Amino acid sequence: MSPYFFLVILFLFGCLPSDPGNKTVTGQAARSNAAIYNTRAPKHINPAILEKRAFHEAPMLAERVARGKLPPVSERLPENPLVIIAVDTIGQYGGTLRRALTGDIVQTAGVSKTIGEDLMGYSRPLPDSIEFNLAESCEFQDNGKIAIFKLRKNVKWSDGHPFTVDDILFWYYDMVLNDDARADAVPPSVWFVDNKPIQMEKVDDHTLKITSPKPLGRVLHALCSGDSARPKHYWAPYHPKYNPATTYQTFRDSTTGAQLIMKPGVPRLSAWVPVEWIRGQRIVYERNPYYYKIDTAGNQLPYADYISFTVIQDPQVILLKFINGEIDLFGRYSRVSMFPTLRAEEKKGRFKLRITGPDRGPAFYLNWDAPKPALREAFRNRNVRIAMSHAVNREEIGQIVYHGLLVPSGYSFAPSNPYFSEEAYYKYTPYNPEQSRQMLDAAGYRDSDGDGWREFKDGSRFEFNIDVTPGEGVDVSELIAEHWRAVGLKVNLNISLRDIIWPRRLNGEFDIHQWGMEGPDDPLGRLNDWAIMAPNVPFWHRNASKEGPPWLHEATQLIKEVLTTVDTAQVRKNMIQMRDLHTDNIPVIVVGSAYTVWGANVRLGNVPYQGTNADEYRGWSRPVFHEQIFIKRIDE
Amino acid sequence: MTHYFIRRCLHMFPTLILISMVSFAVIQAPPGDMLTSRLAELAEQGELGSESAMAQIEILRERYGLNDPLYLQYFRWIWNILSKGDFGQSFTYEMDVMELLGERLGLTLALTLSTLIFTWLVAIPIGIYSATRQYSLGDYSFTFMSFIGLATPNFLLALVIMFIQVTVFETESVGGLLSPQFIGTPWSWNKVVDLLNHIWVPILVIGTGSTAGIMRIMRGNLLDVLGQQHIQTGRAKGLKERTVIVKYGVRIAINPLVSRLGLELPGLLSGAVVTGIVLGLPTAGPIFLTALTSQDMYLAGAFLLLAATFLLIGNLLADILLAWIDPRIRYE
Repeated sequence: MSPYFFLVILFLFGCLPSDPGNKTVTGQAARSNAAIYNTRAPKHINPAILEKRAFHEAPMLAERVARGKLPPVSERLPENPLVIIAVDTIGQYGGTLRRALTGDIVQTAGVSKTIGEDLMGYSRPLPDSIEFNLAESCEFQDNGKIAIFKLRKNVKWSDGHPFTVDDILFWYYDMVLNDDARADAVPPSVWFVDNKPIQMEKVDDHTLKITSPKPLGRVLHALCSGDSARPKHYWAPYHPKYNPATTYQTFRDSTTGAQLIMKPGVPRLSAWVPVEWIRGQRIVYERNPYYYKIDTAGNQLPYADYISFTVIQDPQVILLKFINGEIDLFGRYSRVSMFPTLRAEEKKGRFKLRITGPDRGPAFYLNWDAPKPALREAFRNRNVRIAMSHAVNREEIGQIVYHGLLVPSGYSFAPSNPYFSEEAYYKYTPYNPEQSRQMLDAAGYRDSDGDGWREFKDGSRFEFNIDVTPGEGVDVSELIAEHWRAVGLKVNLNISLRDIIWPRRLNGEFDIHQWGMEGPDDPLGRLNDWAIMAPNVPFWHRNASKEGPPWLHEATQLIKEVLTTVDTAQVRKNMIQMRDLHTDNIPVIVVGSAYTVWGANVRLGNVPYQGTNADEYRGWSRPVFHEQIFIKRIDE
Repeated sequence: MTHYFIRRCLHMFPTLILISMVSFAVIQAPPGDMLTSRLAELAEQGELGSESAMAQIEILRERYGLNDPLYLQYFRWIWNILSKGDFGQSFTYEMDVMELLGERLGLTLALTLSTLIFTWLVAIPIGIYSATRQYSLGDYSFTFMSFIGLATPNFLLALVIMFIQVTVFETESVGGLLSPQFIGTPWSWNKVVDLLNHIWVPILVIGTGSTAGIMRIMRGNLLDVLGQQHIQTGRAKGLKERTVIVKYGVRIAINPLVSRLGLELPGLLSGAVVTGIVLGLPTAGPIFLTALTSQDMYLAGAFLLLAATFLLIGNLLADILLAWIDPRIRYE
């Protein structure tokens, strides 16, 4: 492909490459957004459309305009609408996208990942770069200590009220940084440098200035997180600062994550706005008449009139309803164990399966501060950990539990990460029980009393428990327990509900905690698992700030530098160094990276073929790109 | 009888207080609290981000008064109920507990009551049939079926029925009590038809287990009674067989079932939790389970309190009903 082509795309979308030349593509994980440029939709918008503001709108809205209930589409769209190239083709208006959630309030993330909008956004379907979204430009000054964001002009909230910098400042100062008003207990750490909040100020209605004593290394990521703005005109009357007649208690209760995104009447910037919320049963969203995105033919998005989320508590029933065609998209609750059923039912032609990834997979977090001192000593021995890793037959686990949809890999960054290295990815993963036994012998953990189990240095049996919650983790744990038993380690499983396992995790009362690997796609989005960012952190080594190994302190230092620099060469150097420190010291035993199995009803058009499941990139929902999905008319 | 009634009513209060204490303590017994489970929930969805979980929990515990000793939390809860009728807020549903339960009570009672009626209407005649034709082909086939009904877990039956609906009959909407287009709309004839189209599945599923049980109890009791002397006397005096069985047999044999009715009342409220989850029913049962697993103590507490009240009232009603049906029973 010609370099000019990419230049055009960069120009069109204003892509900010997260790091120049960062992609190392492996044979099995060739991932690139180039696939979506095979689209049949025009790749550029005709400038005349933008110039004449000759936009098209959904019949549903045209009818409201005709009745005089709504201004015409040319007035509703911003000066510079965001142009989206559809994945496959220009779509058709109408219909309802039907999805399911296992709960409403407890599953708020399912909705926010689907419809959340922010100043910036990860590219879709693959999060290769960060693109402009509600902001249309960004400029760093003073070595990155100042960032100036320009917002798209004349973007409006779903009630028609103008969206300005005031809405961002209200969100930041009156909600996030106000300890009384914030619904969450602690503010997001990404907005703090040396325990002091980063400052934001208004230059004019459409210009936001962000200032920090150190370079703003993560500000673009931080502005990809969800909704970094709240409709001030709507919320100020509920806020004691603006209306002394109210209390912070009521403000907090009415601005929880769920209330903000599910309550009908709250103005939003997203493609759809809530119009019906039956508690514990269903939430229905209708198209936002003021949505600021268009396709390359000048049609205002979204294509679908409605998106509905039905609450179905049991994932197996969601699967059944998806197979039955009652649900259009199934991915948030799909599990690899459902793969055979989905494969078999796909033949009936009601839906199409997608397999994307690999993303994060099962991990075994060894407790470096395990309650038993002898076990603690063993886990802190690097050779013991390497031996435990070589004892695992990852291939077998992948075949039995994951139907082959698991890449056997170790504790390192995932292929989607810019600082991925194949060598690090596979380090210490070859299955070699003999080597494992020799290493354990050499480390001084032998079976001295001949009972078949090794002994700790204090003479007691090398025995530990794996804490695991029901699900695939149990199957993986049962197999890994066999593998470790085969090299003479006595392993017991402690299978309990999450509500029993998690307090043990939080209090550091476990030997080994089974969980998905946190943050392989973007460790900086999961700092508490990769560095000593606070006392009692990371959870697998609560005493790290006092007793942590030198390499972990070094990795922490490297990360802290990355957070406060905008120099990509420096970032790259530090991230690679940090990656190797972690991989070489293998604090956590990882089994592999799992593929995600998901599907879409055949009546949908423009469903991407790729995606990510990484929470750091708002996956699975966001990469599905709901606003440009359309429902095919039956006569087609 | 009036004395008995008043005494029973007075006994209910200390029992209720005791139940409320025990249930409050039991809900809190597992390690962690509603905050840890909330955080685990967030972590599972990848929403915890880089925030220190422990720091969040400490602050929220303070905010919700979870650091206070258990008895203090209990008294605060009870005091709010007695003084203001305030059962507290549900942490997982961000809603007033009573409002939340009230919303679901109607459909819950409709479902469980119709199940109860269905069960009795089916089980008692079959029980009588089996008892009067002991060891016949019919008796054997009903016995066989009832054992299968007893042995099959309800949720499995629910899944199997839904699977058959989807794969064989290609039903448009499976599970739930209403098709999506009727949720949240005012009641109309079409909506009632739609409800009837859906409600037979849960009635069948929840009903099978207890139908089998009631059938066996009815059969066993009636067999006992039919061997007694007053039946022989009746027959010897030339009464019609039908009169002998219905008036002198069944009336006595049904006693244990009537006492059992009292125990069914709290069941009406919690009505088949697991089946409710599998079928996606908008009833109170699934909420109760969520409340227990997420240690949503006010919701679970209110639910248990309500169920206990139902149980006590049910027992009282059953006792009165027994006295009315069986003249041999007298309460002093």
